[in-house]
Amino acid sequence: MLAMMVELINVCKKYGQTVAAHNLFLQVAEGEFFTFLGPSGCGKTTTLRLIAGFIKPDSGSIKIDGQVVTGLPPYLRDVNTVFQSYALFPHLTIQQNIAFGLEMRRLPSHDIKVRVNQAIEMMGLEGLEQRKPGELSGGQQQRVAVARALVCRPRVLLLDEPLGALDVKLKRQIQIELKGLQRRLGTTFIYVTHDQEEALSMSDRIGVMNDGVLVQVATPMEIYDMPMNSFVADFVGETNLFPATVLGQQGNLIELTFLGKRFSGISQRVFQMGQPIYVSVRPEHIRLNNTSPDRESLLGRVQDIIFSGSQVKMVISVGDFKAVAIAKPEEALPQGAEVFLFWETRHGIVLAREGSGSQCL
Amino acid sequence: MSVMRDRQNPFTISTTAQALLTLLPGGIWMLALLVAPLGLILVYSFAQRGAYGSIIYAFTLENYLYFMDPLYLKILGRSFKLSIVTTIICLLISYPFALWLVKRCPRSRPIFLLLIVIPFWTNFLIRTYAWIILLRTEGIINNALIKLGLISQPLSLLYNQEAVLLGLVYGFLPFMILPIYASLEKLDWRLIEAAYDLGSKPWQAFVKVILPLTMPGITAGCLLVLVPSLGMFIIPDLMGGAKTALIGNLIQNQFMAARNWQFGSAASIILTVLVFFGLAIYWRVAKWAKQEVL
Repeated sequence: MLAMMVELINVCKKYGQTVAAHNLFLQVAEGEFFTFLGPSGCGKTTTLRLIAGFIKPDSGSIKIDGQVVTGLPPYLRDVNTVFQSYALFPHLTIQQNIAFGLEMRRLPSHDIKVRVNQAIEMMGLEGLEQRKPGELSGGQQQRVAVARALVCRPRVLLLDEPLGALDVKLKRQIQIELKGLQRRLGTTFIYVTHDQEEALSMSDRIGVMNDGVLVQVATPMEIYDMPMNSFVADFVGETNLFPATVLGQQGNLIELTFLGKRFSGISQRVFQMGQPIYVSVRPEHIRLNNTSPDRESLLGRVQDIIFSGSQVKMVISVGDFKAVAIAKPEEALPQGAEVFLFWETRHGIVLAREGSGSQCL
Repeated sequence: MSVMRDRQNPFTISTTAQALLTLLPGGIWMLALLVAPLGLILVYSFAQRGAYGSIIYAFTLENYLYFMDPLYLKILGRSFKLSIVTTIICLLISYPFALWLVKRCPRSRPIFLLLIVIPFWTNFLIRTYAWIILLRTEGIINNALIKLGLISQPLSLLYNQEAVLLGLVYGFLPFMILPIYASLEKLDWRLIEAAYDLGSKPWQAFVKVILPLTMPGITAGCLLVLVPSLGMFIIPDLMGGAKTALIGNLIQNQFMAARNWQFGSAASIILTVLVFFGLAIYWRVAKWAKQEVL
């Protein structure tokens, strides 16, 4: 087990009536790429700012590298931040911006020079040393922001939606670069994003947040395959949430009914007979048949077809419910076609129907 | 003015002509109220003086040489010293105040700004007389202090250099506060967070980030206080008494009492040139300092 680099112990933060951080418990290991994922206003940036020290928690404590830093100001914490707005100093050149943190630490000027040059080389900023931030493109500014933070060799690098302002292509490219950088340097990264694809592709672990609560903390694969509740299932990736009722349970296996048909799904939890639940089935796991299969299935009608290059998304109306399925372009059905829907038991994730807030912890 | 005729629209004016046309009102203003009087003063300063102060248009340097008297140079030096001290005091009061003001909630800020501006609605002369009522021997402050038993003899608060300084600082303070406030308000406070994040203690963040980014406001404020306080004659006249004559009083006296317009003009030109050189040196240094940092 690796040492714990960042620990949140029962951290709470309120802004008036709004709870931005609600009894947060979290441990981030050394060298881990941890991501806070959630919709805007869920408290993920607040949590990051609590770790950075810009705000103080109402209660609870924060540890960095085993030391309690709850009351320490940001300049005494061994963390650096890449800001969403980059926050580069407009009156300083790129070189001076990158050197800023080292100068504040009063390093010998020779060391500063060497390390700044290394950082410039690492981020591919050669030739821009004497420019001002205003003369750089968004992508270049982003790299300067990363270089300025990493040159200080922090124990933890905090990144607050660092790619939010970039276009999709550049975003993908810098995602790969950042991930590679993190692996090479072994620095603990704590990343904040509302982009679930970004979170899934980069992180070692993800903490999904909603209304100031850490709803689920798990690996990207677990989050996707075994969402804790309907909020996580819906927010991370696309899913069909069939409102069904429990018929019976045998271990992990749950019998349920939806629109009078019998289906089954799985869950680690215990459900009562007759309890209303959701079954979450990812669009890629919805099975379609032209003819009635030899098992219980739902009869639907293809309402819409959305072509997106490598795959076709079909919106299928089943009674009042709209299901989404994905198929290869050559397997796509025409609009208006009747189709039978079902899913394999292991792809039906049974989730409680209560709100997301009460069931965490 | 060249008016180009467009094929579609005969009333279209070329962009150059448009630019000139927009500059016209401002240009006339500057010409009539700045260039022309200054030219006149320049001519007077090189003219000879007739028996009863009449102007004889014959070239002479006499007026300038006359100024080289130690008496006048001393007045000039004192004026510079007093305006520089005024500027420094204004800066030392204004910066912390503007910093405090900018930290208020956005709704209460306009109220404080209004409180700064309200005195301007009263005539400057009347406000100066108000200070006299406060400070004179039988004035409000002295009377109050005697009534409270804190002093037995009235203090001499008026008609000295300190009184002039007080009047100047009071009169010019808003000219320092407003530009500094404007530059602080534009400041992106996330940059201060970034500085803290990179290990700056609060004073380091102030010196390295806040101060350089608000330098335009500081410069504007200093110029707006320094230059007009150099030529100010009302405050020294009313609050300073005879002993603290400044260059402004000297010039005013030459035009009004002494009827020596030639000498007054020469003194004005000397003051203008000195201020101009001062600014030129400042811009040079500022430019050099900017390049030096790179």
